[in-house]
Amino acid sequence: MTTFAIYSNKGGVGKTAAAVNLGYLSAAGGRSTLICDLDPQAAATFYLRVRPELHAKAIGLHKGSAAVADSIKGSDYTGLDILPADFTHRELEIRYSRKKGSTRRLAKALGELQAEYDVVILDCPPSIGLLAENIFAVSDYLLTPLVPTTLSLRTYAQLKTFLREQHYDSARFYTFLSMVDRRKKMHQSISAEVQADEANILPGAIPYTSVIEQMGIRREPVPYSDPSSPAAIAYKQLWRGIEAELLGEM
Amino acid sequence: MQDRNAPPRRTYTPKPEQINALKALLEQGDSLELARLLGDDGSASLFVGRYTIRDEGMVRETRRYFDTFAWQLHQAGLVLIKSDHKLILETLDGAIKKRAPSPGNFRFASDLPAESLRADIEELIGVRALLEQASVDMATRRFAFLNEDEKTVVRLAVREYGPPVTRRDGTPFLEVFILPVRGYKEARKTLQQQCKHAGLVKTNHTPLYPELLAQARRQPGRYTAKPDFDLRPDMAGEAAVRSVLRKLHDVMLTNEMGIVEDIDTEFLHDFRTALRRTRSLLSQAKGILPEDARSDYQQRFRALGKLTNDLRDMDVYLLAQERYRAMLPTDLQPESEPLFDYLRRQRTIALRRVRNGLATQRHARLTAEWRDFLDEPVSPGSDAPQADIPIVVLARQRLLSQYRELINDGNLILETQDDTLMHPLRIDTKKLRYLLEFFSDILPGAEGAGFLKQLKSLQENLGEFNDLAVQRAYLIHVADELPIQKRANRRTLVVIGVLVDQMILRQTKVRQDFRDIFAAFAAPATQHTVARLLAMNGQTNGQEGKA
Ligand SMILES: Nc1ncnc2c1ncn2[C@@H]1O[C@H](COP(=O)(O)OP(=O)(O)O)[C@@H](O)[C@H]1O
Ligand SMILES: [Mg+2]
Repeated sequence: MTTFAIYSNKGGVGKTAAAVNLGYLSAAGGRSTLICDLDPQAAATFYLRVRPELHAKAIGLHKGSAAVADSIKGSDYTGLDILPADFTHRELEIRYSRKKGSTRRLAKALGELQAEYDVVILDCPPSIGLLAENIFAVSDYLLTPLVPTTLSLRTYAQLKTFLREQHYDSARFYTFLSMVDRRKKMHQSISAEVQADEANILPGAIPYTSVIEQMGIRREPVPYSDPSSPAAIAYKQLWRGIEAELLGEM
Repeated sequence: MQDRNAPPRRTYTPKPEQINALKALLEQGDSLELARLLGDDGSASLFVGRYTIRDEGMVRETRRYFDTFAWQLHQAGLVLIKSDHKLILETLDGAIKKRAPSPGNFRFASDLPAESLRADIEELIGVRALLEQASVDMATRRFAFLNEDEKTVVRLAVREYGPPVTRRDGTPFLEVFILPVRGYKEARKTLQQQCKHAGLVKTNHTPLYPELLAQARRQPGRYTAKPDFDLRPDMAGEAAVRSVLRKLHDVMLTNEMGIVEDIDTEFLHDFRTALRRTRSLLSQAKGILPEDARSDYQQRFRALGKLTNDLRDMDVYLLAQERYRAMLPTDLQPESEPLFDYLRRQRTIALRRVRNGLATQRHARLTAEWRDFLDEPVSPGSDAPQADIPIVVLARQRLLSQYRELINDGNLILETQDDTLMHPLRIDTKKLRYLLEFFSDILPGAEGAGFLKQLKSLQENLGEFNDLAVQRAYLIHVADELPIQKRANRRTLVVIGVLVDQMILRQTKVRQDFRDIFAAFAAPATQHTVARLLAMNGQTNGQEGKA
């Protein structure tokens, strides 16, 4: 089992799009996969057509990871499940405010689930607080989307500093290019620079395209709805890179 | 996977009058038809307004079930299944143990993808080939039930298998099953109720594979290279010996086909082991079997052994390829290719010789005459003086004298330091080992007290020593044979040089170990134990029970 956190200190960079599309590709390749929607915005949950329902019974991390397991929903795709947002968010918030300090609550809540799946993907909200520390503690790798703009590069540098402060092992930190607009000169030159300079960059630059934007309307992963689109191909390339570099053989 | 987390899949069998409707549904995928079949006539329906049904199409695939000739997976309660896109290691009762993407064609465990699947299977089957033992075609159509968000909340599948088209109990290989989606319990329950309401019968069918095997009249688990000899202590010597020889001949016959078809190297290995045991027993049967026949067959089986020697040698070299490569420094490893090419060519030649040899009239005659000889009623006028002596007595004699011979021959090596005697000593150990195997039922104590363990380690030590000697000599012979004009071959000579050097080093070590291993084996305490163990059985001589 391997846990990936799609993580960034910035919003709107394509984290959720990546979590859903990579999760779909992972399952389609035969790995049992769980997407954990940690973002109260619940975008990943929405993309997979799952309705946030709050059963009283489901509110209860204190019941251990068995209760968490009860909230998991199967997606429309074989091998892909989702832990909906509402649940995780509320739970975590309650827990954090009540007992401060622990960075391993998320790890505890997901404990047995991680063993049940080959791949767990965390769709994270932008956070550098306690939630971030929880995310670092539970994940094997961080995958950070990087939009090739000067501003993003600065936030990216801040992120690296933050990780260093957190003593996060840099070997577990990977990045990939996201929302790359081929028509923009600046995007092209920064992309080339990043690909040349960053040691931990994964292959497969995700293009800025309308098929990804339309995920919100179609509510389907791009490699499923439009498998031959450049976006789908880029996600497949990215996933193959992750498989080769981080997962090895099944 | 999804199904791993879900409740067990519920399967239904149609009532006879539903079969045609289901077959049409499978072919045409009409969702209205499905609603009708489930009893949704528009009134009192559980479905109305709740779910829409979407046909997800029909998929045809063939499942092929693999196991080795010796049914090693079956013995471990497993089977390897190849469907169009994946490989599944399943338990015999149908639970999935591991899965991996399908690699196309495979024959050996080493051809399989996915390290963990490969390792599991390799551990069970070693170098044996995976053979198709059964297969079945499946046509499956899935229907998704969608809620108001157009989210799939449960699925229903119709599946037909064939051939065969019916189970042994006469029910058709046609079924309906519910595929739950995790987290949507209510939808699953509703659909279950609806199936019940429609009169579908919930079934708990036995898994498919045993059913397919039974229908194909295949009986797993029948082969063994080591048959039980089932002797009784009071059997007459000749009858007992014939019965053991018959079982060994069965093993040889069973394996001939696999040698000729070159399925895997174990066929020849098992064949030769049975052959060596046969020859060994024949050599011990002086005075038990009629002498003319005994010495005649002894000689004919020796020739059969010789026929297969080269092929086995090549198998051994080629199976050890990885080990040889590992003995080389990395920069020399690619240069070993011409050597293995040469060995592969020699193997082809050796295989052709064996095939031809097994196809001769001479071999057919040996097979038929040997069988007749073994089945022949024990001749009353036998010239063999020990023919009627109880086998337990003969076994004890032979074992003791074989043990003594081994001790004497080993001591001679220690005195003379003559390494050419190592090979005959290895034969001694094998003979003793075979005798213990033949007679383990009637002399159960003979294997006791760590004696068998000591014998095994002596056998291993001598085996390795001799293998190294033979392989070293053979490599030097290959050096003579490789055309030296070729540039690549010159480097291969260096490879051979390194390998020979490594083998000499290893052989020296093995030779040193021999001293200690043999010393333990020949220690007076062990000798005493053996004598006592052998004497103890079948006959009470007053020593029994004394420490
Ligand atoms: N490669 C892309 N091309 C075009 N639009 C994108 C792309 N990736 C994301 N978007 C859109 O941008 C918005 C933010 O993306 P999202 O994946 O939710 O980011 P995050 O999870 O990092 O906040 C969404 O509306 C999404 O549809
Ligand atoms: Mg998001």
